[in-house]
Amino acid sequence: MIRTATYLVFFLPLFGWGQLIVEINLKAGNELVELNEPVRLNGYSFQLEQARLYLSKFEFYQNGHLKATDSTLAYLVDLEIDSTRKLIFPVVQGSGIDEIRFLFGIDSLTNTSGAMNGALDPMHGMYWSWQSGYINCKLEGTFTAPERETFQLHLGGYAHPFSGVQRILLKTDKTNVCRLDIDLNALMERVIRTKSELHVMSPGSRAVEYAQLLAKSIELKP
Amino acid sequence: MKRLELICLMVLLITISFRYTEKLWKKPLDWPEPVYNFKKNPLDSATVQLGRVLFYDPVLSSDSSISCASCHSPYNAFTHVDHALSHGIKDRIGTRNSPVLVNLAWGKSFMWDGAVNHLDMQALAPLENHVEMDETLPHVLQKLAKQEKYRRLFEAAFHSETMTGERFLKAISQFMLTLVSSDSKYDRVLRGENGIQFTEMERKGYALFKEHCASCHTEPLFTNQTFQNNGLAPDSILQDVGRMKITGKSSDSLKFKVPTLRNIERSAPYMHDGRYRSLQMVLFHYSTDIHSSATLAPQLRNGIRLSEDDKRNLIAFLKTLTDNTFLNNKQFQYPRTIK
Ligand code: HEC
Ligand code: HEC
Repeated sequence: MIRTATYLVFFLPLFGWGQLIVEINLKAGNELVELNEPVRLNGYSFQLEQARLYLSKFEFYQNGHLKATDSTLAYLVDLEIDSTRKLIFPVVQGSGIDEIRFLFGIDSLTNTSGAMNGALDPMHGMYWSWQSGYINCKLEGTFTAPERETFQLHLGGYAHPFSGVQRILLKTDKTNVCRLDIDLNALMERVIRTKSELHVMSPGSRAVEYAQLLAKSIELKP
Repeated sequence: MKRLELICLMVLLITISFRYTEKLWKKPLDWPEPVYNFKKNPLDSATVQLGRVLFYDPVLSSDSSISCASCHSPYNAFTHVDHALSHGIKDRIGTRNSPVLVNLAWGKSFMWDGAVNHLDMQALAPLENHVEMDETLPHVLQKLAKQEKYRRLFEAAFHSETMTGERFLKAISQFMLTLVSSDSKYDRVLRGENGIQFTEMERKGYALFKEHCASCHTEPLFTNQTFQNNGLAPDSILQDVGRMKITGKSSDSLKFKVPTLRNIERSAPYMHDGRYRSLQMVLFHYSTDIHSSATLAPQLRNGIRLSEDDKRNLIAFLKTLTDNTFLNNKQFQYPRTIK
């Protein structure tokens, strides 16, 4: 409520409504990753069966100054549901936004605030029931290197020292449509190399490391 | 003029609804402020009733055999009577004793090891636990949506039939928040009600309690909500490390949440694994059976020296924490009248 109000106060009188559209893609290098389609990677191959992740607390900056805060607390991006791969922000044309900041995952405050609605409703299966906390990112699938193996990465954790949420800062030029690419190569290479921790299902140092690898790969492209 | 009327009406409505919340939930005098943020989930009687119906409905388990109340019975301050380790669906046995459900509005964390960080999220744990209810939240919501009764109850509570996880969880929280126990003999004596007084034994017991027990079982909640190792020898089969499971810190090994002692007379068996059947056994533990380990609470290092008289007096005091108003409260029991 208050967020929406702030937003309106900020923008409506100053400019007209416009939109910023961010399309989210999972990539393996230059290749687009889709569910159930094999991806080649340095002589190995992998295939995703499920890919879901939270992006939250979007903020829009100009010259380092906060210009607007998105009224939606969090988005659940699900590779299986096309509509979730496109985020539409009512940011204004010509408003000079040059930087987007957001969280990859869910922060500690939100994690400890009780039952939430929308994308944060625990019925979406992105919440650990046996030990409170959101799963920031779920990646499940198989790889062949050379034998076929399954992996299940449920990356979460909000409490020190295993907080998995990652802060992302990205410069943008003044276009209305941009692509947010998350490159899986570094993570998958790490997973296939180590082979030991293919099923990460709880908060811990491995989950944090994997989340950092993903976060580092995030890029914004016009 | 119209505007003024509207404002008056609004003010009136707000006062009425405020009053209503007051009646559903009242902070006992001199108690600390609750931890639960009521602003995010304001109590209202329709939602409390929905929560109550859900609490007693076995539809929450995969084979419709187990409800929350199966392990949390109102006649025993909402613990599982006579079971050391609670039983779930198909008689699968859990690894811990079900705690009493009282004064949860003051709870900072839930479960013996604090695994759950907010009351709203508590119901998810048994619901999705394989040995308890073995369900999933979306599937339970689907089952509820098929019932006319629940469509009506959701409509009454949320002015919409839409059943979301958030609404489901908040309704159960609302019912649990109403479970306030603050009318035991102990409370009445402290309030100076109708000249009610402790007996000689209870008075001596209270003094012993303040000396030896209150550092952890702190009044008025009878818990300081910290995690402590109170010297129970670890069970070699269950291998329960307690708080360490959550924090990963060896300094938290064998520590469990200090439980409230309100209604303790009615909530046997005792401790996280239900190892003691009686209060006599609990006091035997504290006086002569403390298991020493690195994380043992310092005040228990040498055990608590208690004579047989001391033990009798302490037990007499602990029994003054039995709250019959709470235990017999019809509003907390199976909702017979809601069809
Ligand atoms: C199969 C038995 C069983 C069922 C069914 C069950 N519980 Fe529990 N409950 C337990 C046990 C055992 C614990 C303690 C678990 C632990 O600490 O690991 C517990 C803990 C709790 C707590 C934490 C109390 C505290 O002070 O920490 C609450 C609240 C609670 N249950 C509510 C519920 C609700 C609501 C339901 C129904 C959705 C429910 N329980 C169903 C056995 C059960
Ligand atoms: C150092 C802190 C500490 C002190 C001092 C202490 N307790 Fe406890 N008490 C605990 C903890 C922690 C538990 C739960 C332990 C477990 O189950 O692993 C507990 C459990 C209990 C229980 C079982 C409650 C239940 O619901 O199962 C009773 C009864 C009890 N204590 C009574 C006493 C009495 C009486 C004294 C004083 C003689 C006392 N305690 C002193 C920490 C303490």
